[in-house]
Amino acid sequence: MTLEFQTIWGELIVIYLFLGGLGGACLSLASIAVYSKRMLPIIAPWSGVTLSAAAETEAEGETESQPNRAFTLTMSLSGVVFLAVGTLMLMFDLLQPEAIIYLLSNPSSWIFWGTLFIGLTLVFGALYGWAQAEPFFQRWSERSSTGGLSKPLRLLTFVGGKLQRGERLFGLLAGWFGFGTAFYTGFLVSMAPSIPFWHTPTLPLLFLVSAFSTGAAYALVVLVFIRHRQEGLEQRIEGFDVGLILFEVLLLLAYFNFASMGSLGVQASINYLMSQPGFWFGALVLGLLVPLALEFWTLFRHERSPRLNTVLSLLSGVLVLVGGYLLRHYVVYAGVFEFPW
Amino acid sequence: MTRYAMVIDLRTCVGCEGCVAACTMENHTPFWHNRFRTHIEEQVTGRYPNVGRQFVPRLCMHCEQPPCQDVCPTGATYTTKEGVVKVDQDRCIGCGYCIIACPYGARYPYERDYIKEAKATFGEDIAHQKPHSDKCDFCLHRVRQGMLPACVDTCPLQARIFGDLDDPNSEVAKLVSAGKAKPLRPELGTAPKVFYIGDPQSYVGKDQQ
Repeated sequence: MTLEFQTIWGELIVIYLFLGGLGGACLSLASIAVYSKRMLPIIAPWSGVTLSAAAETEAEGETESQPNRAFTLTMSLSGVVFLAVGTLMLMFDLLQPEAIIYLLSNPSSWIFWGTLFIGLTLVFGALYGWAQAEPFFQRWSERSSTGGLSKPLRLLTFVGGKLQRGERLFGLLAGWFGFGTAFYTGFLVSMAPSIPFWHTPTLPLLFLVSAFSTGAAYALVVLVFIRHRQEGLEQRIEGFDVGLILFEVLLLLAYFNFASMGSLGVQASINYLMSQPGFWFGALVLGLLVPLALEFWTLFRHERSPRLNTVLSLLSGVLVLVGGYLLRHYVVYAGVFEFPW
Repeated sequence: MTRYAMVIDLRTCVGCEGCVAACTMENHTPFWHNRFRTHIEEQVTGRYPNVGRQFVPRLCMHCEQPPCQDVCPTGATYTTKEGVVKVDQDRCIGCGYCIIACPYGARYPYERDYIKEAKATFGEDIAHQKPHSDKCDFCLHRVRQGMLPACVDTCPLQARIFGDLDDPNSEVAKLVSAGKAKPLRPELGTAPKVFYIGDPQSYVGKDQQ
């Protein structure tokens, strides 16, 4: 048997996988945050929101959804930008990008579904963001009524106003297609029968959970800057992220438990990962365990010092984002072909 | 129907790399970047004084269930009516997914720069006009004219046997149905159409001659 590290997919693909997962998760979270408060107690029971409290806030309708706007707008627009930049990275990696007109030819390929999901997420995410940005455009256009920008701003406000009719639908579709995008990145990598470290049922799940964890971490960073507009959401997202990180740690344990007794190719991958401080210290300790501890602390001791909590939640957000990137980097570079000679 | 296949006899291959040279000249592969459609893997087994040396010619296995074709998003990889897995250069975006998915390492990226270099080496009229993921196609352009693939034609020890699996009188069909020639990694379910006499992982001189 010959073992050979894969060199076909490099850093551009890593950036793409990271931004694809993050962007998809951002749009999904933006959608969940507004429309599915009832889901929070179910998907994150540790967040402290009970079903009845969620139903109450939902019943308040407009008054509750209004302060969420700055958050959901930032998340959905960031999601669109992340996805667009990620797609650009993928384009740079192609040998013949001029042939992309044939991209939707083979539904048995995950790239087919990825293209579809990313395309639809970008379209609905942009429409959703535009509809939500309408009040901001309106404010700016009022302020700069005499400037040269007033005409385009008025147009943006006008179209945004029209789009608001479909805002709920756009948000829902962007959220679900974003979920599909985050999910597909793992399936993409795991469809490699010759690379046993990737070819596992756990990898898509790990990438999905990690994508949502980085999405939640990004939300925490966003909330630090738009905090004054938003009450209570920070804790809910922190609670959601704690659950995701715990699940991710469990998935990684399951993954390594399986892989440690795996074939020679898998063992070569594990040996490579364990020899890289960037993986075990960067991705595992700094990217998972430290933020887990920090988020636990802020979640249960949040009454002590709001200022310290802000710093800690910013720090844990940044660490989870860096950890998510490092995880993908090392998983991609740890791919080892197992050739039969 | 025709189903082209190849049997490689590991007992007779001496690793002269004549097949590699013939393929390179025929298919304009970028040998200066160490990229080939067919290649000889050299394995040294055992410890002195009990050592063996094994040569394993490798190429595209032309699987009946090719993972490279399943993962190709543009449909650039397709199977011809003769059962040959081929790449359409015009449709290939060069995402590398097929290279990742191939369990036999049969593919490599034919990059944009290689085309310029290949034109300087082989002349303007080369087989590669666009960057794509390249692989063996059993020299289909030769086979359709009644010739053998270049590697088979040139092998001085006739270690490579080419023929039609659906023709029960062909040598490949006889060797395969008699169980003398076996595919690599059959457990993956890819159903390769390249078969080997002898085990690529052990020195055949010891236990099979």
